[in-house]
Amino acid sequence: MAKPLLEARGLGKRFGGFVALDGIDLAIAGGERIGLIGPNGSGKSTLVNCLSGILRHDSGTVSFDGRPIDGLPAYRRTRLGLARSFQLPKPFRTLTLLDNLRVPLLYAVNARPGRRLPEGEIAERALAILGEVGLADKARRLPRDLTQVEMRKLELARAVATEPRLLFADETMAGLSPAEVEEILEVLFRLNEAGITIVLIEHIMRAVMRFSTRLVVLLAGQKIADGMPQETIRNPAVERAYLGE
Amino acid sequence: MAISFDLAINALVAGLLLGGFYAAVTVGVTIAFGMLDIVNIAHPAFIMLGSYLAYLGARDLGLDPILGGILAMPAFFLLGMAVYQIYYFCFERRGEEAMQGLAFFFGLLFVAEVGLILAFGVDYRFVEAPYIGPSLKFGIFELPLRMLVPFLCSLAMVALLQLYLSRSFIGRAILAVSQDRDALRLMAVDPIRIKRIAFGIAIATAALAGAFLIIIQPVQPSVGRDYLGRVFAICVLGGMTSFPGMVAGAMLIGIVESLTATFYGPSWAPAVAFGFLLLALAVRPSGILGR
Amino acid sequence: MTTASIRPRAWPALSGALASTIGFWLLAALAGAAVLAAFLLVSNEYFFFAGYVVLQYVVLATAWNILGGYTGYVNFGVGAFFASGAYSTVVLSKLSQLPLPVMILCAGVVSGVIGLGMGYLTLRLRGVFFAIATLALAIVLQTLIVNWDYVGGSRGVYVIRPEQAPLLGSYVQYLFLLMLILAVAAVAIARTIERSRLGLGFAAIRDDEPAAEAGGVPTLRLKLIATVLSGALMGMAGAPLPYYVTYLDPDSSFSLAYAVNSVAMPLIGGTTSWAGPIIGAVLLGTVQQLATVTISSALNLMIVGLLLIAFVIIAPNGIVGLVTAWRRRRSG
Repeated sequence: MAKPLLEARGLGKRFGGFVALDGIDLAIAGGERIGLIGPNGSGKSTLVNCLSGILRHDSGTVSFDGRPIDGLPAYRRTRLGLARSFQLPKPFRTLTLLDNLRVPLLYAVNARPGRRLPEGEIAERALAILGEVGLADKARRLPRDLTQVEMRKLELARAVATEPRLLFADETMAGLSPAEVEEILEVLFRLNEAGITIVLIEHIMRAVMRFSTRLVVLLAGQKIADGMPQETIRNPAVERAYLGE
Repeated sequence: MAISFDLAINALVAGLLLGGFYAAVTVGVTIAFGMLDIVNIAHPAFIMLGSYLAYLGARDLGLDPILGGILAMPAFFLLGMAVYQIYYFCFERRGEEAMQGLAFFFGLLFVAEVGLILAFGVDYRFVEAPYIGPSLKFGIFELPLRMLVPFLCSLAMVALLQLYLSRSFIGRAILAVSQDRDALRLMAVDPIRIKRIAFGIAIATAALAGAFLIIIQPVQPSVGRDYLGRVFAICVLGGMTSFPGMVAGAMLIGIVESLTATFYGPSWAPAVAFGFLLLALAVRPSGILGR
Repeated sequence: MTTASIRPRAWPALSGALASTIGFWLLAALAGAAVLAAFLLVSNEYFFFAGYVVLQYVVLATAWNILGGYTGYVNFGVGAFFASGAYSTVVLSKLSQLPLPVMILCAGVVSGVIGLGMGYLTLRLRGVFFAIATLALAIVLQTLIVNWDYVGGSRGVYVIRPEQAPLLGSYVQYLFLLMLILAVAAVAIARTIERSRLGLGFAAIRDDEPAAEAGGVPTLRLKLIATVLSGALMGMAGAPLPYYVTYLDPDSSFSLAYAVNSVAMPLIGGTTSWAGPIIGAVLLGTVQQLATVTISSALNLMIVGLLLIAFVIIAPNGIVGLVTAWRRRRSG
């Protein structure tokens, strides 16, 4: 791979005696669509938390765009261009949808050297992003007025508002109907076409197989497969992981 | 030199005895806060209520304070369940537990203290019992019975609770809730009911701990406040959920407090526990996500 | 699109926000002047005494709310910051002849530094641990003061009120004026923050801290700013206290009553707006001042505690919340 956008080497994380991540190596190139799968408890969310900076990894290194980012707090990583959406949507409950998006615009985008969006443009950008996910007409409403799928879209919109180069979409589609899954998938495809590298953490295999250019499989904190989706899914180790011995 | 060695040894022993008592005081917080994440900062208020009830029992009914404490436990159990029900209904359920929940318990703490002042005034109250006064003497060791008896009873109470939690169905359900709220639902057990019972148990321990308190020292309403820092310091030091850890932490704080009071004067003692708490919090490694 | 056509569009938005802020400071100053004029007209010394206490609570409640209401971090150790301000005045008055306004600013610095230190130790943890740590801080500081003979230890210290007031008539009126200025400034600062980028960051932290962090908000830095600002204002509120009471001792200056009131007033008034703490402070403060004359201070405090519990259960967003909900229902 030419210089990877994100590279993790030997990433390890324990909680007390429990080993959540055991020496993960992962390299992601710009523009890729990675599908990250694995049974419950395999370490997917821990991996995302460590890479995005909410958790501190115990061993190994992570580099973004060639620079090591170990020890950088999450907000710094966001400003560098590494964003994530949360598995359970975490909206700012007392703020309108518009204000929900103004936060990342003011704190992630405006904090970058050289960028200084004036207030009027911030509101416009926020509205535009809401429009991209189909929430523009609810801009002045509060998150509690949203449906499940709309909350997921808001979650994605907030991550997109940080103008990321790499986005971790953490189980954005869990529990949605097939039509709703399709909606989210469309948004993700569009984002990828606009240049954002996307890592999709998902259980819905149909969506993962359609979306990914590469499949990474985790099991019990270890990476057991990493390659083209069609081949990887036929990997005996992967089959064992999902179907049991 | 020999004199201060005597002093130091006895201060150490006194601290150990005190530590045992502190464990009884803290066990309610370990259950409510350590295991169930309910920030009951009003726990010292319930202990004071227990102390004054034991006082009334001794004064008006001639009851031995420890007996009075044991008799008060069922009432405190019900009280605890009622308080949790209000807490759950008004705060936990709405997801606003953070600030309003804290303010609720703070209000309870305050109202209880002021209520005791209004009812009993600020004079120190004490009880009398055959084991308050005499001491056991072994060589250079002097063990005041008024500390030894609560020490033994405290450890007994903590041990019994540990047995209950690890052997009975409800006890194990409580341990399960503390580790994974959702796992219980899959077993068709109502986690809210379990938490309610657990909180009831936590408050019930306060009844007995309060009885121990008034045996060890005379009480007045503001004494509860000193225990606020102690209780949370011990809970945090003990690792939040572990009973053995809690006992060890309690002994540690008891010993350091006793040594400080003996060699530096009693006016420094309150700062010890709170200082420990600040230190313990400062070096805790967990970040904003976890505990 | 040329830059010329962009600038005029941006200007009105910028000057709109700025004008709103400047306008508020002016209005607040005018309101303060009006209050002062009213009190001077009545010219009953007792009102100045009582008014000082109410204004002091306006400052304390507003200061508490910057950290508690805006950022969601509850501070039970109000006494620590308040008393540090009072005792720093005691120390300064013994060491120097500084005028009181300067001592007030110094008290702000001292309390701000305490807030910084404590925040640095505990703000990385969950809000719950921060709240408990503030209680610990209050006791630790109280113990330190009790054992410090230079400021009187547990016996307390007597402070002589100067006969000549630099402004106005009696010294108490002067103290009233200083506290009034402090109250106006505190409220104006609170509202300015509320409407600013900083305020949006605070709200994000309050609503969901991990999501705020993931959104680029430097949560630790903002929380430290809130703690320092809140602590500094509380210290400044305490700075004139020695001259007001003329006898200062640890038990009363670290009293839990300050904490309960500082928590109850914003919660009852409403924590999401600058107006809430004022409403709570004026209502509760006035009631308490009236009640102290008729009922015992213990009963007085009991009522505050009960009101706190009642409001937190029934109207968690305070009076401001009730008004907002009623307005929303009326407009359909």
